[in-house]
Amino acid sequence: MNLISDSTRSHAQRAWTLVEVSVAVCLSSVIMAALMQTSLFTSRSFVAMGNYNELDQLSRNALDTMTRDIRQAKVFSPKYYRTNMMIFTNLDNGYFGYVWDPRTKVVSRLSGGFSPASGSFVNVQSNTVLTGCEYFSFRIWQRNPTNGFQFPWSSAGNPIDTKLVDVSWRCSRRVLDKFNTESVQTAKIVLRN
Amino acid sequence: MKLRLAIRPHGRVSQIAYTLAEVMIATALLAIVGVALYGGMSSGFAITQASRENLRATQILVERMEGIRLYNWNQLVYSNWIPQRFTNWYYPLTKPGESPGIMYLGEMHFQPNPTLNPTVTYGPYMCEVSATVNWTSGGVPRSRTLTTYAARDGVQNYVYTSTNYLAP
Repeated sequence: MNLISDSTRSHAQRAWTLVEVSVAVCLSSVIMAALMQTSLFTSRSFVAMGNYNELDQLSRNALDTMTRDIRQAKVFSPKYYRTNMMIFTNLDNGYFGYVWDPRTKVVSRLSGGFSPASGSFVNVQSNTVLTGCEYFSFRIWQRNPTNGFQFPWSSAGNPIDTKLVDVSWRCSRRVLDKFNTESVQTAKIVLRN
Repeated sequence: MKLRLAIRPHGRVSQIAYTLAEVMIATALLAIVGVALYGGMSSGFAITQASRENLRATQILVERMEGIRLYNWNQLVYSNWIPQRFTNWYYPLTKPGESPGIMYLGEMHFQPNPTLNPTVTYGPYMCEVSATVNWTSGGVPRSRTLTTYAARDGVQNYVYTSTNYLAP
């Protein structure tokens, strides 16, 4: 048990002044704002990194599959050639192809059989290859190269001359509906038919 | 002076502030955690970026290697139809006004009759084709090379002359 004077007690228990509270509020606001910015930046960075990895992985898989398919193709079907679609006949005389739907931004791999009698595809199977694809393009070139590593454009009406397929696409993902991460792929693939 | 009896709490420790040493240690720990977090993110982005640049470099090289499959032996070995130097970009699909990103400087080398181990009789009819791309990322020069062989009686002959055709 001790003896304490009134003057000591009043000094220890008095409230904060308006200036002290104002300074404290300002400081805490600045610190909170900095913390929120850091948290937002960190979250955005992690999401962006995840998006990049996912996009690259999907694009690599798609390009590997597409390259393997097109190299082994017997011939491409000029009747169904568009810049967003190519259909090929494989060595089993079945067919496969890749189609980009700009509305849904999905690239699909189609496969199945072809009925010469009815002139239509049968047993169509569709597998999604890419999603969030904003741009996709097939271009075809002839088999006879020219000087300067150039290849003449191929006419879709003459599939025998078409040996080189150029495919390009751009996929993207949104981060917090504001920032964009994207993956661009281009490749030239030679038909070994 | 008026005096009053007061009971001092038993544990005075609960009322004392942090010592300077405690504050210093807490600040140092916070700084280490913050720097580690920032460094981890920066490192993650740098690795991701390097991986994407490597992937693009590989694409450029594979494009070149695919292209040479369409050249016949004479065009490949005896002509200068394939430029020894070329340029490509990280973003080849840029719209007007957009930056194409990193520039890749490429070189192609053709070595007819390459040294093979073990030696083969058809060596003179083969050609070693190498493609290299160089680029600079974050001030660091980087390079990637792809090497393949082309043969006089190889794939380009039947690719060029094939009339295999059966389309729906």
